[in-house]
Amino acid sequence: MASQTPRPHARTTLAGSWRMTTLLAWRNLAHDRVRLVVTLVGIVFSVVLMGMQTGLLVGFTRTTAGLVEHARADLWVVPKGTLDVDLGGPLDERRRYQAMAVPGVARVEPYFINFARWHKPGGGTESIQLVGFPIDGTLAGPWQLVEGQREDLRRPDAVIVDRLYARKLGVERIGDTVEINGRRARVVGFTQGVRTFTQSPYVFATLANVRHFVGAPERTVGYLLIALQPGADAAQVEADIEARIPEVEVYQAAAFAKSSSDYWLYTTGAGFSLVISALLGLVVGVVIVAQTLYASTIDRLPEYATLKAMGAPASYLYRIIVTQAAIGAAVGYGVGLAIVEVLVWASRNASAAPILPPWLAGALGLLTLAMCIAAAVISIRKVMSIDPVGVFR
Amino acid sequence: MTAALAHRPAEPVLAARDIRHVYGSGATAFEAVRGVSFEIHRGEVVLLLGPSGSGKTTLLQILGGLLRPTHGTLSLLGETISGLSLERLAALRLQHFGFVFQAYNLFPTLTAAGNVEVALDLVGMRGRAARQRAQQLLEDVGLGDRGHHYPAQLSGGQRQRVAIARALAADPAVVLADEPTAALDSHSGANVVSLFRRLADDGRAIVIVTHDSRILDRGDRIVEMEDGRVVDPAHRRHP
Repeated sequence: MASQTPRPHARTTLAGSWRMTTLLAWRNLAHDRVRLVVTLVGIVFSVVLMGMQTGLLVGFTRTTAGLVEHARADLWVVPKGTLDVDLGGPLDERRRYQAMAVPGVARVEPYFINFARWHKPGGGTESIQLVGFPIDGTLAGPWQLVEGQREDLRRPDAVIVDRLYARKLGVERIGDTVEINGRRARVVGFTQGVRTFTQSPYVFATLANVRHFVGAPERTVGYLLIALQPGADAAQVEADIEARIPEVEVYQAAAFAKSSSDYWLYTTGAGFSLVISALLGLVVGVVIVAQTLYASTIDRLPEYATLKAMGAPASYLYRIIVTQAAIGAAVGYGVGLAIVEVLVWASRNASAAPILPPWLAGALGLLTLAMCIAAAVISIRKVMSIDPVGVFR
Repeated sequence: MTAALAHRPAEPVLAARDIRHVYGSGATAFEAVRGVSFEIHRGEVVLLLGPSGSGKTTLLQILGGLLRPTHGTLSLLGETISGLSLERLAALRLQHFGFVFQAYNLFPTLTAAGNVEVALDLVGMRGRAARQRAQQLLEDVGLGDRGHHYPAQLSGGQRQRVAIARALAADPAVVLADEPTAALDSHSGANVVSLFRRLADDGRAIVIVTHDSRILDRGDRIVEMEDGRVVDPAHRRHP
């Protein structure tokens, strides 16, 4: 009988190769197809639930801060105590001149947001949020305009609404007329995808028209938007304005966007609910994967004991189990992500649309991998307890 | 130590001195092996006999480095190994021992060649070299044309021969077999025992635990155990 002593590869140890442990892991998974399907369904379910909930969270975050993020202001001057852009109190426009006098300020524009009643042409009313800005200004206005022009707002009673809410507001095309707080208004344009978290659609108009619709006094504004001079110290300007105008607070744009998101997502509990749902998906995934992986490990205990008896190090056995979990994670994530992408696409025109940016898709992948590896811990503990002497009993 | 183990021909491959093993402690303590001394040299086939509970399986576990004796010393190729850690014993098993089990213990999801390649992988042989070596080992046990068959597609005798090919992957000095013919018909059993004989003739030491009376005349020595002791220390020579 020919005998040839194996020579370990110079660059490897006696711990065995990833190729072989991956082969064993895949064969373990594929051998029991029903269990494989159950495992993958659990992972896919978890990925979809986590993806949709976190996607909604991202979507809501962007929606709640949309007005702030789409303005080109460096600083927001808000009435003291204001936490959210949708719920600003009135300010006297004369504060604008005080702000303009602060060193480092290049431009100050008024901005006015106010709830109002929209009377649909066919009857019925809806709550809306009027967004007023100076038509000659440069810091704010409608974005994602798909029909009409910003300049069209110069016309008397002109408003721009979003296509997502056109049916809700009972309008179809440019030229449709409605009433806002009993005053005539005419649609002169449409945006596409300007969502609102409050479900009261944003309706853009000039500052003068908004005052007209809500019957506000001449000098009433909601916010002052500030553009800084190049090189100005934002924190210093912020402090100077607060020192000069005691009844206001000044936020840098990113801070006000965050404050607005936090207000809706966490003080209302909406964000908490989404996070809890996402965590629930994670827990369900861990439980299903742990259960099926453990059952697979139990089935394979004699094989693991044989490997141990042969002299395989513990790390070799752990690798098989972790690779099983990682293969499940990769396949489940791929399928789950495809489903999430389809759902995101299908809900792109909904008033509450999830968003799945690349960083979230990546984070979801890492979370899925972590979930599956965490689920493997119980199986690893079981394999650790295997006594190889059992193979001779 | 593993790399340094070099056999001097006059020495036994495996030597057990006054081995004792106690399971449990206190009132429930049970001494399964009671002062067994045992040697085996290259080229020898030793049959380990005894009724259930006689201690032969415990002794086999100790001889294979799977169980540390509570007393006594075990030497492999002249080096004492009974005091080594479990990790070091595992590394020694990988390089110097081959195991053959009554139930074959093959991986059902791998082919015959794949089962052998797992053992080769553990000792660092991979890729084409491993495939060629696995094929060679399967040919050595008469299964050169069965490499792509899964265990479920093989007979009991063929499975046991695959298990033997796997046990030989690291070219071990010692092969320990637990009831290797118990589940086989007489023809398959005879083939397997012939295979062990050839392994011994190639210079390996073979220890076979068996109840199979059909193979009692195929060993060089019979060591019979009862109540944890070797009852007849005299070596019985068979033609």
